[in-house]
Amino acid sequence: MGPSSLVGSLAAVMLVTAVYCLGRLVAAPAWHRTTHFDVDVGHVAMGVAMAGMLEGSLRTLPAGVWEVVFACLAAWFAVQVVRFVSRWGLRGWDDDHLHHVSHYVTHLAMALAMLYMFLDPAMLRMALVTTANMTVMGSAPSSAAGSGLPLVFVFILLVAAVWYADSLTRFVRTSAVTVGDAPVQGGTRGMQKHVNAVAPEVMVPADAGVQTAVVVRRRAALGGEVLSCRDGRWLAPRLEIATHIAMCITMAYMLMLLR
Amino acid sequence: MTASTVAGITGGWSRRRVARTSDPWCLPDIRRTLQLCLASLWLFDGVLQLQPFMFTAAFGSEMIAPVAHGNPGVIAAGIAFSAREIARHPTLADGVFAGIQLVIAIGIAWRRSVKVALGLSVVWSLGVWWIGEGLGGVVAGTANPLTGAPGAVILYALLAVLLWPSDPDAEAPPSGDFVASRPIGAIPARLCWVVLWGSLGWFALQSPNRGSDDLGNKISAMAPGEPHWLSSLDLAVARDLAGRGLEVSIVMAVLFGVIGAGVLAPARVLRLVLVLAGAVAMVVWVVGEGFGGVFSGPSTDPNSGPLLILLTVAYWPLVAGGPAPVGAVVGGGANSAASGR
Repeated sequence: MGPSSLVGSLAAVMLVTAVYCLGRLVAAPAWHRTTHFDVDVGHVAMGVAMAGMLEGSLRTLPAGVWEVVFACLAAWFAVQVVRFVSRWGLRGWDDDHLHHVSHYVTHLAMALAMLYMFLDPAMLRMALVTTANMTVMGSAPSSAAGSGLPLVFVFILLVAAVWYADSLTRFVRTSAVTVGDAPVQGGTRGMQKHVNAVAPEVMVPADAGVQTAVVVRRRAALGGEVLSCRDGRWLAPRLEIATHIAMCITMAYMLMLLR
Repeated sequence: MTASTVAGITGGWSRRRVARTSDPWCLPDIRRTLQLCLASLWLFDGVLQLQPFMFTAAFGSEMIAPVAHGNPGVIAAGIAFSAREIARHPTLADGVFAGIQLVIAIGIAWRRSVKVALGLSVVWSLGVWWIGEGLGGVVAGTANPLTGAPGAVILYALLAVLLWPSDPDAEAPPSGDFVASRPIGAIPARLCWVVLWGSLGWFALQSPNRGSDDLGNKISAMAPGEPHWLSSLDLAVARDLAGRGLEVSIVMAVLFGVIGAGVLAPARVLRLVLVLAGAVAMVVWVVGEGFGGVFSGPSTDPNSGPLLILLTVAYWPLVAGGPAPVGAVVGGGANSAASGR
């Protein structure tokens, strides 16, 4: 795989990611599941836009339209950051660190990075460059060198990718029965006993065995603004995180070429 | 708890859906945070490796081959062979290099594979230290502590060892202990620190680094292509250091020696020494290494500065009652695989 096929592959990945996130937006309401609608909308826009930048034949909207789109997205996530911090403070995350304030900050940075790429003339040139001459383009710093701003975005995006990857194991199966914040062992009987103590209004299914029942207190505490890892209605959380990681790395790669 | 939540649980969610939503997950403690920082650096390296320049024969002939210079025959032969093969198959070689680094990064970040990824990173780092960095110029006598000696990649290996996940059921460390001491013990960890900083002091006094204009020339050579603020800083420092190579070398050697010996001091003194070490590492990274040259052209890593800073944090004395080996468990009991420590 050389630079040209790498760029083509990344464009394909971005397109698939965008289509998948579009599917989430359709499937979540239809299946009575929840998802981060703002994130999915953002991922659709970013995926389509990046695919167009990487592969000229996939360009869709004019740059000016994308600038408006990403300015709106940046404004949305900026407002969410301010709202969240003013309401919950910076320590409004304990067990759900992934999807609290960092959730909004990360997507704010992504929207700003997209805006930067569209506002930077060098990036527009890149959109016109065919994959064949990527080697020439990447062999020397572009005119954007001197600001250092692309590398700031790269840093944020790569840290975010690692941060999200770290959270993936939160969604594995477990034989521990958990209600609230406390682990409970001992099958259905032990679980029912614990549930009665913590949340008497919750009934434990008879066939629960050593499976897990979860009381989503965290989400209630947050007013339902962001999804908790304990919210079983969250549609395919690991895939959502995977799309986010793919998006961060691809965007970082593109910004790296701009430095 | 909201009514809808209760309804959801009692309303017959599928077993699979319910089972998936909770796990014994721990918030990142200091060690895990350092592991994630290490993973971020590997990810950064992997993305740098995907630069178009790296897919060309020049990667082998212009970046790898020159590091053989000055090394003993057996070491130089391996480097020359690798450079030749990379230049012959640049696309394949670079794809493999980038892929391995990305796998290491994601492997460290994903808790279930952290040990495998750290182990792979040690092996890979040792290989790259030889083939890609010519042992950091240590054997060739060209190692310069201000420009990345003893080679950034060997510090990746050292960090992988010092941040190796230990038994999550282990008791909380005693007061004055530090993260780096957990996997190998306090004395070996301190020895690593002494050897590292002591060697930097030794390198600073070697003849290639104490010439009157050597240091200034090396710093000013990095300015082209850098952002204006950084190139201005480099040129200003290079002007100030002009003709003072020997004095600067002696000062650096003393400084590195003090930092190296400081790890043997009581916790209160050690903290001061570590603050000094962090500051020195930052100066080395910004002025001496120019952030690894990531601003100015093809670069494979951000050099040793950030790794020295991570090491400094790994040696920070913990207080009694401070962070335990296993951090706060979220959603269940401790689990070594999921906790990734």
